[in-house]
This record gives sequence, structure tokens and C-alpha cells, in this order.
Amino acid sequence: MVSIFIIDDEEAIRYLYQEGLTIEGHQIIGNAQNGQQAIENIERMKSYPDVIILDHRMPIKNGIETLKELRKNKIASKSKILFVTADPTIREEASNLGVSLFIQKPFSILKLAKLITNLFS
Amino acid sequence: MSEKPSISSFEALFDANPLSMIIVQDLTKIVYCNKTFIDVFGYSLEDVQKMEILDFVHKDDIILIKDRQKILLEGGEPERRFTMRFIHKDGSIMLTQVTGDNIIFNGKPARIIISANISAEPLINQSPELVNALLDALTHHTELGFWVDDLDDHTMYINDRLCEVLGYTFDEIKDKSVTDFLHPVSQETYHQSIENRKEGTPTSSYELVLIDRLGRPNTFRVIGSTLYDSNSQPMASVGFFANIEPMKKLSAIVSTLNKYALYSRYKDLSTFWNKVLDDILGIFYSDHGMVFLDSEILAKKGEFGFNFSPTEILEDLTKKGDIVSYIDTDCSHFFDSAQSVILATMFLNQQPAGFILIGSEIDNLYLPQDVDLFMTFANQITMNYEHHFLYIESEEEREYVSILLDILSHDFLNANTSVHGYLELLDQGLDTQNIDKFKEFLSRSINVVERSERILQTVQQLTKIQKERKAKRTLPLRPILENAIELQKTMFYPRKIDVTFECPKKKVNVIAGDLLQNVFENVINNAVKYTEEQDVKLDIKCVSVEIEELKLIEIRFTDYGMGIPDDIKPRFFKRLTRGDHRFQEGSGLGLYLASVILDTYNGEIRFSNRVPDDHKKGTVVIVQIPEG
Repeated sequence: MVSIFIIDDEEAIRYLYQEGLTIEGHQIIGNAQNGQQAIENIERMKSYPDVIILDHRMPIKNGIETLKELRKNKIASKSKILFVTADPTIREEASNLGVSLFIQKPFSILKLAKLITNLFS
Repeated sequence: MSEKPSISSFEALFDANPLSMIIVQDLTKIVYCNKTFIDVFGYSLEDVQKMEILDFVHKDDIILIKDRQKILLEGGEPERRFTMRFIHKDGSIMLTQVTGDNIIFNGKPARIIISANISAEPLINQSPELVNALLDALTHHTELGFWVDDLDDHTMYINDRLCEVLGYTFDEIKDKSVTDFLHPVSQETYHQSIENRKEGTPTSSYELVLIDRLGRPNTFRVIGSTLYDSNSQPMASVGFFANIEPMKKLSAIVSTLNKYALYSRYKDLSTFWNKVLDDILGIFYSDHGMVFLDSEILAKKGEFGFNFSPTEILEDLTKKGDIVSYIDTDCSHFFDSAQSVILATMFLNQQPAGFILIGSEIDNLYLPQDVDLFMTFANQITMNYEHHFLYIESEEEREYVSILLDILSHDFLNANTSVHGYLELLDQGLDTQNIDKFKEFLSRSINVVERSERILQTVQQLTKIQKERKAKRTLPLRPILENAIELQKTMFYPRKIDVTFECPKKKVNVIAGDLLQNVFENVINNAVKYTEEQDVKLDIKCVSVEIEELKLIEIRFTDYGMGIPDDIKPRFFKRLTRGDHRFQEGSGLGLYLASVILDTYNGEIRFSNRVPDDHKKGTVVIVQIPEG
């Protein structure tokens, strides 16, 4: 069972992750609507999630900014980051910040759930 | 002249020389003269051929020439340069500076005499009467004005050209001085030039503005000097007046056009046009001015009459097809003391969109060439403005289109991801999921698809609005408003919309385009949506208002619904942004589109509470559109 934290501003997508990823047996241990809220929530966690699904375009703090801050403050440095975006031009920047997977929208929720399983098998 | 020069190029070279030249052989015989000699001394070639050198010489100078001939005969060399008087064909005396040299001409010794006319110089030793007479002769056909004052600043002489420019006769000017004609801007310059002259350091060149008979200012470049009597005492001051008014205006116009070539340097339209107007009023010595463009008074100087309506003026210009109107009579309807007014139509997108006006209390202030110049200026400055404004506008639009495309791609990909995911989940759990989960996934999918539709519809509407600016025209308000009401009543049936409509004028026209009905539909739609009761009460009232002299029609839509909290009100009119929550919520997009549409009409939309300080008792939506 992989513990997952979801960061996405869209409620419909968060709900989709919740429903889709649990089918594969993963556990959603928290979520946030933007990067700022995510950092605050993750920082308070006793044990960091195995996977952070991080959307890029969000209000207040976007995906790249969030990732930079997580790295800078060494928060959840062992968590695998799945970076989700519709914009392929930021792939390189995200890779340089050590993301484990770059997922381009639109994607299949069931394939993503399997991908996470494979990542830890 | 018995012999011609043997080399033709020699003749051509001498003929092109601005100095008079003659070649003499055997002391007195003229064998050649150039074209300048003929022109300056007034004799024909036939005359010259029959004459000897002494025939041209003033009787008092014949002895001088004979003495020189004697020295030459004795093999000596007389002084090379000397002054002598020639006689013009009309009998007048011409003082010349002469240079003589020995040459070989056609193989024989000859003497070349080159002379320069220096007749003007002896003026300094002559009586004023003679000076006047000579100056008349000198300046009779010149474009230059010529003015001689005695030491008490009284006019001694003024030539015809200057009289003509100033519109006075010599008799009217002779007892006055330059100071009587000075424009206030030149008082200091002139008095300083007098002071300098008294101190023995005269200003050789300066600019003066003189007022002509009709009160029009004329700028002259003046070259001044002092005349002395035979005892070397100052006798009079003399000035050549070159009228540089047209040149000065043209130069100022060009400089103004260059200065305002970049509209983008100015913080807003009003600042830009006010600066332009200030400059143009200065160039044309005007005290009243207005720039009316795209239904707005963008700049104004001076008070205009109560009944002065820019909209009507523009309509009139458009109807007549006039590019420029020059009005010097019956223009008191512009402003009380108006005596001269010029109006030039301004074109945007090749359509008459406004005018620039200048006016003055001085009668007949503007000359026909001023009108031409003003028209060129108005045309050019509007083009400058239009080009740069269009550029900025297109840059903004480009950026906005990029945002819209971004919204489309981002929100659509998000929507697709969600729907795709829900469908996958439905497919996956077709046999196992409970019905509630099924309903949940379906309901969420429908919501996402509806949001996508809203995005598409909004972008589609925005594309239409881009063309709306060009579709502007005068439209009757009432039928458009009535159609919108009827359409919304049908749309919300069986809910009842009870509308009271109050409009004092039976016929009200506005300047708007095809999407005006869309604005009203959106406003009414919003009022219905924000009313919880089944039956909706809506009051619509039209009034004429005037804001900064711009006539507008104000339409107030008052509903009795749940109202809109004050902190949320501004959000309705904010430009769309990435991840805009209005797409998700599905509310406010209509009013946003209404505000974009009204913006193209130079109109406005805003909210207020029906009951002040209590937003919960309903809303008043105020729409303002320029009156047609």
C-alpha cells in the first residue's frame, strides 16, 4: 500500500484521485488545494507520504514553486514526486528538481494507479 | 564687340559668373561682356557692341579711368582693385567694386574688368529721402519687408511688401513705431534689441511677432542694422523683415507630430490629447480648443457654449462629408466670443470618429494656408494615434488571446482528465459499484462537461465582441430592450418576470452594436438568477445623463432579489484569468461579457444596492451607453 498526498486546485480531479487510486489499494493520506497549503500540511505530518502528486498550475503557489520550497526546506525529500501538468515546456525544470515522474494531462487514472504500484514493486 | 572668344567653354564659364565681366582691348574697345553684365547694367548686347568703356562710366570717374589708361600705356600697372561708378541704362548710378587684370584674349593683350555692384553701401551717407527712394528701388520686387525707424522709433520708411503683409498703407504706419504692432511675446526681444543698439552692440538677427490689421500674429526673422550720417552719427535703424510665419507653423507642426508620435509614452488618452491640444493652440495663437474622439471629449481648453454638442457637430461634418470646416462668421454657438473657428474631422478606421477644433476671439485669425496646415496636422496626428493605439491594442489582444487559449487548453485537458477518469471508474466497477457511486460519477462528469461548454461559449462570445467596435452605429434603444425582456420571460417560463418600464422620451437612440441586446439579456438573466422567489420583480428606467459634457443614456435595472455582497461585486467585471473560478461556478460570466461589450461602445456597467448599505434587499445594475 502506497501512501499518497494530492495537491490540486480542482475538486473534481482530487475526487478522481481519491476514487481511482484507492481501487489499486493505495491510501490517500491528505490533500491540498494549492502549494502553500500543501507545504503547511506535509510539514506537520509525522511520517511523510510515499508519493506526492503535484499539479503545476494552481493559485497562490504553483507546482514548481512548491517543489522548490519542499527541496529547500528538505521536506519530504524521500517522497516520490509525480508532477502533473498540461504544459510540456516545464518538463526539464521539473526534472532538474528531482521529480520521479512527469505526467502530462490528460491521463488515465487507472494507468496512473498501476504506475504507482509498479514504482514501488 | 567685334570679336567673339574663340573657346566656347570660356564664354559659358563667364556667363555663369555672378559678377559682371567685360574684356577690353586697345584700352577702350569692349570685345566681350558676360550675361551678368547685361543683366546688372540693363544694356542689351546690341547696345554694348556699339559702346566704348568710357560710355558706361560716371562723368566724375572718367578722369580716374583715363589716369589708369595712362599708367597702362606707359607699361605700368595701376592699382588692381578700385571703386568707380557705372551708369545703369535707366540713368541711375551704380557704385561698383572693380578688379582689373591683364590677360591674352584671342592672341592679343587685353584687360579683364570684373565688377561687383555695391550700390547699397553708400546709403549710410545719404539723406533719409534718398535712402527711401533707393530702398524703394531696391526692395520693390522683393519678398522681404523693409522698415526704417528714426532714433525716436518713428517710422521713416516701410516698403510695399511689408505694408501688404501687415495690411496697412504706408500713410497709416508712418507716424507709428514697430512697438505699436508688437505681439506681447516679442516685447522683450524688441526692447532688448533697442538697448543693444544703444550700447553699440546691435543684435544682428532676431525674431519678432507683429500683429497685422486683422489682429493676426505674423512672425518675422529680422536682420537689423544702424544707418549713420556723413558725420558717422547714428541716423536711423533699419531692419529687413522676412515673414517666416508659414515656415514657423510648418516646422512647429512637424515637431509636434514627432513629439507625439508615440502615444504609448503618455499615461492615458486625456494626457496625450491635452498636450497635443496645448501645442496646437500655441502654434495657431488660439485660445479655445477641443478634441472629440470616439464619443468622448478627450481634451478641452476654454469654455464652450451651453448648446454646443460635439456629437451633433460630428454628425454634421459626417453628413456634409467635410474634412475641414473653416468658419469665420456666425460661430458664436461654439463659445460666446468666437470669431474664428477651424474644425477638422478625425478618422479612425477610415470612418469619421471625431474632430479637433481650435478657435479664437480674433476675427479672421486663420489664413487659408493655416486651414490646410491644420487639416494636415489633424489627419496626421490621428493617424499617429491610431497606429500606436492599434499596436498597443493588438498587443493586449494578443496577450488576451494567449490567456484564452491557455484557459481553453488547461481547463479542457483538466475536464477531459476528469471525465475520462470517471468513465474509467464506471467501466471498471460496472458490476461491483453501488448505484450511488454511479450517480456520483455521472453527476460529476455532467458538471465538468457543462463547465467546458461555458468556457467554449464564453470564448465564442469574446471572439464576436472583437468585431463589435466596427459595428457601432446609432440604434433605437426601446425595441432592443423590449426584445431582451420578452426573450428572458420566455426563457424562464413558468417563472413570471414582472417588468415595469419607465422611459420619459419615446424615442431614445444610442451608439452601440449588434450585441447590445445580449447585454440586456445578461443583466435580466442575472437579476432572475439572484431572485429566490418564483415571481421576479424588475424595474427598468431610462434617463439621459451628462458626464463631462458627454451625453449618455443610463438604464437602471432594479431587482428585489437576494442581492450581491459588496466585496464580490467587482469580481463580476474582472478580466478572465487562468483557472478563473467563474467557469467552475458558472456565475458572473454573463455580466463579465456585458462589461466587455459595453466597453467597445464606450459605455459602462456597474452595481449598487437597491437599499443603500443593505445588499440583501436587491441590486441595481446601471448601464450607461453614449446617446445617439
